[in-house]
Amino acid sequence: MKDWDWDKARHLLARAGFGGNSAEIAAFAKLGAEGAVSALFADPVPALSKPDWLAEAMQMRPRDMRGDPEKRKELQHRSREYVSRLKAAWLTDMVESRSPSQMFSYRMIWFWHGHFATSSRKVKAAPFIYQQLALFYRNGRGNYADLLHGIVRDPAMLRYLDNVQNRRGAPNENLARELMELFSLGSGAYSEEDIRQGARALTGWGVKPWSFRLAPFMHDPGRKTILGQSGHFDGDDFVDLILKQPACATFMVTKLWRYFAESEPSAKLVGSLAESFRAHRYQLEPLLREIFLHPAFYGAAAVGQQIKSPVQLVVGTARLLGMEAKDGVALVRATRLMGQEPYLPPNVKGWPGGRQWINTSTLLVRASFAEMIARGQRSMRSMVRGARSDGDEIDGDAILPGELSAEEAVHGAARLLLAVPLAQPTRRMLCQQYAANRNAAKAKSELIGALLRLPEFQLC
Amino acid sequence: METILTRRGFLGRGIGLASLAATIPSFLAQAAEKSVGSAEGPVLVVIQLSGGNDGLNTVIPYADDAYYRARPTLAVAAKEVLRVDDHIGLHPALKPLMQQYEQGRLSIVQGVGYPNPDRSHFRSMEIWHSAVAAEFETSGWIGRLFDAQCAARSCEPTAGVCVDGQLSPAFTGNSGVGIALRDPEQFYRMTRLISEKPAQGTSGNGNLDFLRRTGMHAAVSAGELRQRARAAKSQISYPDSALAQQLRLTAKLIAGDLKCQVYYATLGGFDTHAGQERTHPQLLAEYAEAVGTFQRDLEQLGVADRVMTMTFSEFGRRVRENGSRGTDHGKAAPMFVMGRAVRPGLISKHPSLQQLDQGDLRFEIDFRSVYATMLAGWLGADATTVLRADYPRLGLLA
Repeated sequence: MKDWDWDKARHLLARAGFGGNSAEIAAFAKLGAEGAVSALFADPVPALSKPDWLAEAMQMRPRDMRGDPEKRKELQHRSREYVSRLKAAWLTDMVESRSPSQMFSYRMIWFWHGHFATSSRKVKAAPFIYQQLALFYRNGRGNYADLLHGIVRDPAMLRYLDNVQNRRGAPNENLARELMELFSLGSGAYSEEDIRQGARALTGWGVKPWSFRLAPFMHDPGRKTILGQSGHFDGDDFVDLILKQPACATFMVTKLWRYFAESEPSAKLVGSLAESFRAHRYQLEPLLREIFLHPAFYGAAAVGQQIKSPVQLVVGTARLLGMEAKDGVALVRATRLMGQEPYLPPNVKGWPGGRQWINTSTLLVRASFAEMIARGQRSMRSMVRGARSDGDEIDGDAILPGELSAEEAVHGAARLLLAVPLAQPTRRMLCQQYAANRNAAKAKSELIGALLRLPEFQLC
Repeated sequence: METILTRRGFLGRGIGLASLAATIPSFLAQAAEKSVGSAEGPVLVVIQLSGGNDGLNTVIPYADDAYYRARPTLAVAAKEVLRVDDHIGLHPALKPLMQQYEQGRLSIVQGVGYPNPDRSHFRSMEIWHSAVAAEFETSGWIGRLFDAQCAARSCEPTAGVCVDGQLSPAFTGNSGVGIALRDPEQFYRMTRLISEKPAQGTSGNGNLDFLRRTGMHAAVSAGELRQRARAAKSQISYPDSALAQQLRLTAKLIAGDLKCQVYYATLGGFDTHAGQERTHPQLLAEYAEAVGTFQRDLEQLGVADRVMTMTFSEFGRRVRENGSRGTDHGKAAPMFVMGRAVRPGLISKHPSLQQLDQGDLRFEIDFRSVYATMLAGWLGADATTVLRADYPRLGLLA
């Protein structure tokens, strides 16, 4: 790609990651387009560490939850605690990602979480949530076909979509339906009969006690006709049939494009990405490289057009300000108040995103978040811990190094933090305030704080 | 769910930037008589009881033996029930509500539900919020009400207010109407965090304009809300409970002439799977005292003619009590509609305790009929458009 520049590097890091700091953007700018995109794949996907509570949690059998109400309450409480810790650790890891490549991995893992939406309100046992998350970590940047095969055997999903009740003679169609409608083909690409037959293929696919288990007597071994093919299909066969549909690649590339680029892809673009995705047998890396190198990704319909999701906002802001995430639980809380707590999607469709993130309530939460993080107040210290002690404000010098005139500072800060241009009146006001501040360090930190509060900061 | 407005540490730190300029966008400056919600117009107050209120212990078929057989520990003794007629009565904790009934201010709609009900709190509540059961619908029925109304007339963001501090999903729509707050003073202080003089005109970036508009809605509404809440002087003393305080604010805003058509309040805790005899009566008492006081306050403030209050829960509970002296998720349940303009009495009959739907009460009335009646008959809106279908109207209004 020609004219690779600082702005394009910034945009790439904002979308493929959670936003880069000055050094990261500068490094990416130097690498050129292909170098920068390759750098996203440079580090291995981070590992999901086994939580210390896992062994104990697995001692608690799911059926114990149905025992006497007092014990059940206590078990539920503990399970909620474990799930809460898992979410907190995940967000903390995201904030502490050490490279653009690590950030990118987390963006992919998050994509799969939103795509294969599962709720811890229904799937309460923490080991199930952990195992599903581990599936996304393992395959996040790998192969979509592996993910689809993985998800029909995933205990959390099997429970969430009631497949544990799907048995020969008494089918439950929930998983079969959402598998096609939401996870692979999109509505209209299959029939109700395909759902019914697909549900038969998935009969007996259950969980015991913490892992996938096929219950052979519950499985319907008969002949089925699904998506135009007939055979004695089981769940894996069903997935294979789905993967053979042209609609699958079309659906998935569109979703991935929108997640990263935000703009509406043209039919031609979708067609070409889908063809390529099929040719690479659902390997994600070639597809993602194409997306990130496509001119439309850097076009006016894409840049600065995406309303940051709560996770993008919370993680990106905390990371950008170079703050160590100390209390992940508070990070989770911030995402909850903004409407996107991990593992609590509104329903199996996941989070619709876009303008749905914003109403008068959630906008105030975002404003308060910016305020807290800008002020580094005591109440904020439970959320993020800065390098210094009490009343630690933003480290302006770390973010905007050097001696800067008001114009330089405002220009530099805006360029780093914002994806859209500053309106002139705002620019003037910020310059005035910067210049009026006698303390240079304070001037910088207040400038950054001011930018965090702007509606412009909600966009990336 | 928590509310953001109660956290301390957010406030009073002196914002270093210019607060919002007084520039009022043109849509707010339009003629008052054209805007939705006026100082004389009708008001609907929606009270959501969250968790699945046990309707069978709320509106009690005390004359039916089956009730006592199904609930050996939880049934309310016949002599304690506040009798409405020879068949049903109210739970004794609902005394203030019974007073409203006796004064002809209450209609009890029995057996409310919808076809193929969902027993999940979240899914069922979604259905009540969206008024759509066949698929996942993001927009809410109140959101669509304002979409319909604000197409032709101007709408202030305060045309709909959630007084529990959470913007209900029922308000999801495209019109930008809907403010959530608990305390107008605190809300006002919080909106000062949305700083910067707004740039004039549009930016060329649709989402940026949307963000600015939303911020503007919040900030400008805050001033209006604070002013209106301060205007009215009530003589009535409310109980300390959360719901009572929400309704107290509601009465203030109505009497203070806020241009608001729909208020939304919530009371949670109704998911009584265990130890129901401890919790449910307290909740009913909190509810009844709050609405009883609210109605008296509206009368005293001289605005009772304009207000109707509708109460619902996302489902009722099973007929048979469970092994933990509680009840599990069920189906049909009653709704209450209260106000001067109500046609008092009973709508429909109590669901049969003999013909059950897999152990649950069958519904007689689709909740969207209640919505339709209030939308068309009380608010003068196009119920069919808002609800996306025609539902039979009920005789709820005098």
